[in-house]
Amino acid sequence: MGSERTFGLAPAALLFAVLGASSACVHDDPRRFALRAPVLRDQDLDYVALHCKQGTKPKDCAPEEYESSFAWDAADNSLFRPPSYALRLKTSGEALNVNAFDEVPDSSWFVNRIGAKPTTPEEVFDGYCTEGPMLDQNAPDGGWLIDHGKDNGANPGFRVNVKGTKYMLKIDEAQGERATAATSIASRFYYAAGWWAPCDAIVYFKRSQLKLKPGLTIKANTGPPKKFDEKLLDSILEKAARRGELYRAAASRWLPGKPLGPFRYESTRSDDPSDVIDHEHRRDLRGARVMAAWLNHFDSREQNSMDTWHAEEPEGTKARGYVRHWYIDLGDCFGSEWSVDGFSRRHGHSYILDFRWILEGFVTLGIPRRPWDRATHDEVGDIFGYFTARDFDPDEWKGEYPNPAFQNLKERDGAWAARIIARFTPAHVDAAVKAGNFTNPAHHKFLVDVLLARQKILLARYFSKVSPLTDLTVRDDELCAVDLARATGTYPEGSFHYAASVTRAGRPRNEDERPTVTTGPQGRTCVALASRTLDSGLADDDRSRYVVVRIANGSAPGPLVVHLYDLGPTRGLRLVGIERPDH
Amino acid sequence: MVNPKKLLVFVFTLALSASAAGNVRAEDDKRPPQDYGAPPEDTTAGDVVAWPFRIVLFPVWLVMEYVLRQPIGALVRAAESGRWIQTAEDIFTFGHKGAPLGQFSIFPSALFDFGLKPSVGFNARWNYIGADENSIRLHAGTWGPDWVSVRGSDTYELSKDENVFLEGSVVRRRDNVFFGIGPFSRQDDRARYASTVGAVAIGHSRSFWHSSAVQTRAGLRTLLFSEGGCCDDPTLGDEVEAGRIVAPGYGRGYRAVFQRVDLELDSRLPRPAPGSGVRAEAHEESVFTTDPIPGEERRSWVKYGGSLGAAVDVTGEQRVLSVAVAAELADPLSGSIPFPDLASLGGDSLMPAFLRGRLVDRSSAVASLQYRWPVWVYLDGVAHAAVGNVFGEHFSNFDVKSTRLSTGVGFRSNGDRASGFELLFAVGSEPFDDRFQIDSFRLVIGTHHGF
Repeated sequence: MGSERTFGLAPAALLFAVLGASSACVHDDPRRFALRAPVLRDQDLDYVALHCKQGTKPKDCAPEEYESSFAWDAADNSLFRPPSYALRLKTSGEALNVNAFDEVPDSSWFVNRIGAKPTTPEEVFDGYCTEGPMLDQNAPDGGWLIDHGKDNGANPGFRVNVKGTKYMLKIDEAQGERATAATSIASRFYYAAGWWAPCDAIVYFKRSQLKLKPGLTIKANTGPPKKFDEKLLDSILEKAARRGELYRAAASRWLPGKPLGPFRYESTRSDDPSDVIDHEHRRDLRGARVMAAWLNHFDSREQNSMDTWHAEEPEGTKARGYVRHWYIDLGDCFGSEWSVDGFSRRHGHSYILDFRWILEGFVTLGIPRRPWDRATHDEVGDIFGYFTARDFDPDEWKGEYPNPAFQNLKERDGAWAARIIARFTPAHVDAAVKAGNFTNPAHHKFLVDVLLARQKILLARYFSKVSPLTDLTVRDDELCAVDLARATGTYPEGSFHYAASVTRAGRPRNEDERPTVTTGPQGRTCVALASRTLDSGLADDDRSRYVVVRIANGSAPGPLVVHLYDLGPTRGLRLVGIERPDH
Repeated sequence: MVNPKKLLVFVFTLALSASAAGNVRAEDDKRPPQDYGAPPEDTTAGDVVAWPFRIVLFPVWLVMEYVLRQPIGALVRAAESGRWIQTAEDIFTFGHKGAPLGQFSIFPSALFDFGLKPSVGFNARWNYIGADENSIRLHAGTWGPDWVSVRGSDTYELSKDENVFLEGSVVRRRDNVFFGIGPFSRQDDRARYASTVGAVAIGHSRSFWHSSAVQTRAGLRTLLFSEGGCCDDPTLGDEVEAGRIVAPGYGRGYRAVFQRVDLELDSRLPRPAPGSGVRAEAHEESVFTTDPIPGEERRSWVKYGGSLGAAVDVTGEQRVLSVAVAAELADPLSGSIPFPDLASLGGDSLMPAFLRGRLVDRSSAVASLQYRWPVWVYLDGVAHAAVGNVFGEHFSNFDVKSTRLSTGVGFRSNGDRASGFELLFAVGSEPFDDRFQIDSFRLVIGTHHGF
């Protein structure tokens, strides 16, 4: 795979052949992009009016809560949906919420954070936690009122209410401090990368700080309702990791807005007017597969997501608001183990019920060794189960069962997610892992090391097909970009051989300019690109002003194709579009 | 009986009620899609080519989507939100709210064994019944009144390694096969007979050293023959009457007391430990009928045998190659042995390419080579090749050239055999010195009930 990839010297002639081939797609009218600013904000962030049913008070008017079926979600995605899609010969194209710069605008699903603006490690560590109060670990005895049990999820827990703010406390049941750390750390990664993820923070507390509200019961999707009393609380805490008399938990601050239940990975919500793109065709959901692969978030099914309704006037007269979409319950990341070892070994490599592997295993008589055959516990990182960078193959990564959005991932969706993941420096990764507050420093180091190793493999894969050049600027007769593959050291320095061509509308291709490409530190890559004097009477978007620049970096077969309008020497060149073909 | 029409109406009502809930009108005033500014995608050749195939496949998709997927989905969602499973568990655990999760489990079962009647039914298990150490298992399967099988067992754990049990079974079927006695019985001579076999026994089981175990049981057994057969094959009664086939004891059932001992020494550790090791097994069963036949001695017999095997886990990861030899003998103590109680090959155990009861005589001998490999967490692939046959008293006419070949491949679950799954395709041959043609094939798919 990518990490073992080798690069030969790419002759300039070959590069230009590639550039030429890609340009063959250009239509008679070269203007693939209109002269306008890129869409940076999705309309789904705008408040939208709901049409309430007669008799419903505006403050009660919100999209209906969706109750996700554990059993059906698994059965449908494993057994019924795939053949149904196959019989329709359902194909999917490129993601739909992608702007002219091949990026995803800020939306109720995703907000461009790391990479879109300078992000410090401290900001990564803080995650979403700066948006509200943190749980006071020095609260007095009885200061944390338990007002609800934890109905579902992989780990036991309960909800506490402190001065009106609610926190779900999740306890480690096995594997040391892994589960609580995982939910805290992974929520930092998801949030910093751009997805909405809650403030999950490690807390240490005394038993005496807890006070149980009388008459509580737990009502899970499966199993009988249980009375939540002191005995049950003791049995939950008995499993908790401890430091002296202090119990350890991950405190997940209650999400703002009205909870509407999980979002689905396909189709749309019928009662959200802003939800107009089938979820399986959203780049942010498709690309989340790459993020899940990095962290081995194999439990990335709809039950571990949440929609919330944010009313413009929560107690007012307007039934207006918008739906925000969250990733929650990330405690399975970094090597969660199940009671059946065979499944734990397969997490990230195979679906729970994977007909492909069953058939392959049968036909090959089990002769090829599979990653789950080789899986071993690490002596230092024992709490992390089988989480490792060995055998990590981003293309082959799989969750618990098929996910419609993940299955629709296209090369450019994966590359988009990889460009975001590339922004996490070792310092950022270290800061996120600090949120796990491990008692044993060796666990902290192990996780940082594995995450960085998996990141390298992942980048090597996704930077190997479409161009990793990004962060484009046009200034002082130069078009500059950042080559993330070079900036991150994904490939050896000698792998990069840059070439560029400039096609100006109305000029035959054999008159393409071949500007020199200069490189600098941090992946900086610049192409000399001067504006030309054109007839001042031309409209700004006249086709003769159209300029297409192709930059190849020698590592990815596909060039970066940059679309500009030449507005003349005074106003310069205006960047209007970016494409990343794969050849 | 469930009325399918009512069920359909119920399912669609569920689906409609789900979509009608809420305080917001659905699908009104959706925003128009936003223009994100990316260039439009070209239509690909694949999109165009796919259309005729979509039209052809449309009816199949319609069935898949609206006869299977949507109704099943509505049903499963209703079952989950209505806690139907919990309700069933409450009923079967007698409403004991403190019952541990998983106290009661029930799974549908089905078995198709080509050449025999299929069956459908269920396997159920109650744990902690009356006491934490007590559990009950039940299997029921049927294919109409002529094919009924009910088995049950109540096991009480004395310790982690030791238990006592009470078990009972009734199997009534008309599709039993009999091909005659001896190593050269012909596939073409298949005859059918009807019988009811009942048994009740108490027993004791103890496991020790790695995967070794000793099990004893004693009880009562009855065999009752009935008129008739099935499946357009000649009946055994007609064949016996015409003198075309010899079936000792046919038509003369019995009531008997029996005792059985099974001793198994197995050096292998349970999974996930590597599957290398050696295994020796011996068993003995004595049967004494209690109802004398006029003019004949009261029948009694003993069956005994054993096997010796070795297994090598080629990779240490459950790719296990094993060889084994096995033999069984049936000797009368007084009177004759009814043919269903003679030494036999075929069915689930040795020489699986042959139907259960296909090969019958006073002794049997088999040498087998098996390769087993994991294909899923709960499923192994299994390939086998075995040579063996049945022979006369104490292997009297044993000859290697008289053996038959059984070979096949399939899947087998590697977990609890009580509800184990098997898919097997196997072929069996005539004896080597008798044409050696493939004359038997066996296709089995379904769940077993091996407790």
